Amino acid sequence: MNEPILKIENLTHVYSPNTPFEMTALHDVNIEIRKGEILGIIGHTGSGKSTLIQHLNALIKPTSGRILLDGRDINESKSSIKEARSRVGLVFQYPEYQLFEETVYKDIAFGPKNMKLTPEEIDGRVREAAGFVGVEEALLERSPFDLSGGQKRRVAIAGVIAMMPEVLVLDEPMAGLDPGGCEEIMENILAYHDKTGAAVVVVTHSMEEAARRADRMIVLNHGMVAMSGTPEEIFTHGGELRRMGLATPVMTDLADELCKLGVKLPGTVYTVEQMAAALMELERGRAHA
Amino acid sequence: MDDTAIKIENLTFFYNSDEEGRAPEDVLSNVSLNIEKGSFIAVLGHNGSGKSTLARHLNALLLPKGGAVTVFGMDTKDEELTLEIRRRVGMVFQNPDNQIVSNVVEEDVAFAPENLGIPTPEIRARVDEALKTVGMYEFRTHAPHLLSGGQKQRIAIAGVLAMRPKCVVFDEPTAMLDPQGRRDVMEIIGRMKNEMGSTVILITHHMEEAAMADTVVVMSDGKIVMDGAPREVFTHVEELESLGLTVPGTVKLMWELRKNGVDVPLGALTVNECANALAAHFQSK
Amino acid sequence: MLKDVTLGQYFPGDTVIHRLDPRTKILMVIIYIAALFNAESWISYGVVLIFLAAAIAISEIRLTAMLKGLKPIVFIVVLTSLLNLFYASGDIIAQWWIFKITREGIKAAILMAARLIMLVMGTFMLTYTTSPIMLTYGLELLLNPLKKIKVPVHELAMMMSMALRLIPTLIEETDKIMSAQKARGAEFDTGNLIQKAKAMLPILVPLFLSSFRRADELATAMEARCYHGGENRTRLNVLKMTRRDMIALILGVLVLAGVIVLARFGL
Repeated sequence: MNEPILKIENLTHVYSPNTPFEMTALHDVNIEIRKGEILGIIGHTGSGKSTLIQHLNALIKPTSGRILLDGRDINESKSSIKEARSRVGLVFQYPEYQLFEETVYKDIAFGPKNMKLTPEEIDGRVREAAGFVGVEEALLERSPFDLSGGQKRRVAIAGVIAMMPEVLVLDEPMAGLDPGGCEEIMENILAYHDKTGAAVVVVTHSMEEAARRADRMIVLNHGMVAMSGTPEEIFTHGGELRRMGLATPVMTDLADELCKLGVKLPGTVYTVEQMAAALMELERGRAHA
Repeated sequence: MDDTAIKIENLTFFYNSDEEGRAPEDVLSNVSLNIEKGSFIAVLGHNGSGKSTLARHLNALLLPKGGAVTVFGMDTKDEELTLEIRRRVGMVFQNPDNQIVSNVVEEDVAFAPENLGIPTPEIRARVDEALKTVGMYEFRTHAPHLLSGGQKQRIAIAGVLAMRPKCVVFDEPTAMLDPQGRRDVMEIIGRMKNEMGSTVILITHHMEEAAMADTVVVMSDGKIVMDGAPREVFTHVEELESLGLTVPGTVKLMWELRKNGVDVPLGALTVNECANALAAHFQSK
Repeated sequence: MLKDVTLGQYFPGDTVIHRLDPRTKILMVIIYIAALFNAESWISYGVVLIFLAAAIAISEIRLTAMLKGLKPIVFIVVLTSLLNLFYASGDIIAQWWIFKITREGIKAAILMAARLIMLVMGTFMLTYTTSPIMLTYGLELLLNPLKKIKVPVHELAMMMSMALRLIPTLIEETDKIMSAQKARGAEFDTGNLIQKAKAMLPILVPLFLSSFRRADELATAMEARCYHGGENRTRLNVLKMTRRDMIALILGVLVLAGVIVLARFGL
């Protein structure tokens, strides 16, 4: 197991304290994000996901508790906040609505520029980031507003990747895209992960995609960590997840249904590939019998 | 009596060329489709395939550049009939935030009946009924911007139901919602078709939602490329994938199994159906 | 957080004042302001003050909320009072360098401060007890006669209610865009004025674009729901003047008349 890079310790966040609108969004949350892992964070609307991830790069300050980046409290000083902003990249929901520059190139360069890198470094970063998300050279001088929805989304993600964060956090990166677009975005994110060894945190309310590649998953419910573990571990609790208002993967539902009908599958399955493999094994068993 | 709700004949549409004078490209070319009263049609297609453009022709938000769209016997090109068409064909859009017009839930739901000049006591009755149908009656005096996305979308649906339309077009109504919101919206759509006898046209990226329809229409590059019962359309796994689409997970599983020589039926649209088919296969001797 | 801002400053409630027709309340505020500007003496100020205090008490709006609303005008109140204090002629009570304080000056300063504070508090009574929607609707009905001279009253009212509808959404959006740009290392509070203005671009450009997109989508959605201007439009909530409104208006007119009469007698 890798050592942790980000550690969330006893994090509590209360909005509008001491007013009639007081609301506890997070309550005593403890999470470790390990170097190079893919972590899925799942929870329904209002479970505290968005509040949690905005703590990871000091956009929101904890009401109590700490966030440690390599053992150092990120809210310690101005410089530690700045450091956290560049080492922990945060891609918001519908990031394409934050594009603002005249050209794709300039927009991707915004982050590196704020990091005060040299022009050569910035140029390198922009081209590399564009490469990760499959934005061709020819598009770099175009206006980002002329692109298609999926392309805009990828340019926006490149804008964060260009900062070369060691932890890349994405909030619902595939929301609103068609199936082909979802597939592409997922591949882009994995390419960044595989090439740089960065930790990737994907926040989502749909299990299907997150489950496919996540090493670990955390389930948030009412501002608390309700479950954490490998996807296999999480999906053995199908009933509990459904009670929390979460959608379990279709294959998990199918496995539960098959179990009721008396077809026992070896282990936990949550993807089509796993289910097909498990059933093929049954089929072979039948052939031998 | 005529059973056709909407008749689309050789519909062609393009947006007028921009200032650079590029030749306009057809967003829809030669689309023909017949939608029967009380049917549930799902429209699939990748982004930019012309789905939304097609939808906007069904209530005269856009007018055909070629061909014709006839809605309950009315030609959409006849401007005199525009309001009559729109009150019969309601439309729910993707982003709930951008279709709610008022700061109070019931005022928002009342918007369409108010526009139609319906007498006040009847507006009240319609608003209450519509809010009850979508399960948001208790929220009638709330401010919409403080509700969740799923709740807002239910308000938007109530706003359309208050027109008492015969047909409702849903343009990716669940794309921005969480699973709970999505389930709620689909449940309402199901009731509209089954209990209220509405004609439903659903544009979606979710294959599981499309599987609930009577007919699935697949669009690509402004043309209808497939059209049939979900059970039939979803058997074209490879073709759909080449169009940037997928099939429901259960169909995909069956397809994988068949590819590996397991003799299971391909058309398993729901988890139950799939489980039963698999159990039948694996428990037979 | 930006979200906490309550817009229109409406405090929902179910008091007599809340239930008054918005048209009544708008007229009452006009009457009240007229009375306030006709008041010249301690007595007439006292009459107007009692009127205001009674309204506040009945509306059950907490005094702290009233006082909080005064914060932005403290500076103006202090400044105008000081000007009145030092630039009135009359019996000199105290003198220091070029400043002299007169008895008339003190009176003018106090009354001026009172007038400003009461003016603001009175208008707060309208916005605190009337939902923005009702306020807009009331205005639309009051201005209806102007339609005859081709003033687009319905359109203006619709614009106002749209603005009210979109403000919370835009605030949320601004918050989100700011966070997103901060996550990319943007800083909004450093550097000189020009640098600060430049730093706003990454917020303003997306905000404008998204506002246009929203406007476009909203207009389409309104059209789809049969919106075609104010012609033949009916309403869910119809405003009706009741006895209550008549009583309130008569009371208001009496106060105004009283103040004018008092002024006639130099009081």
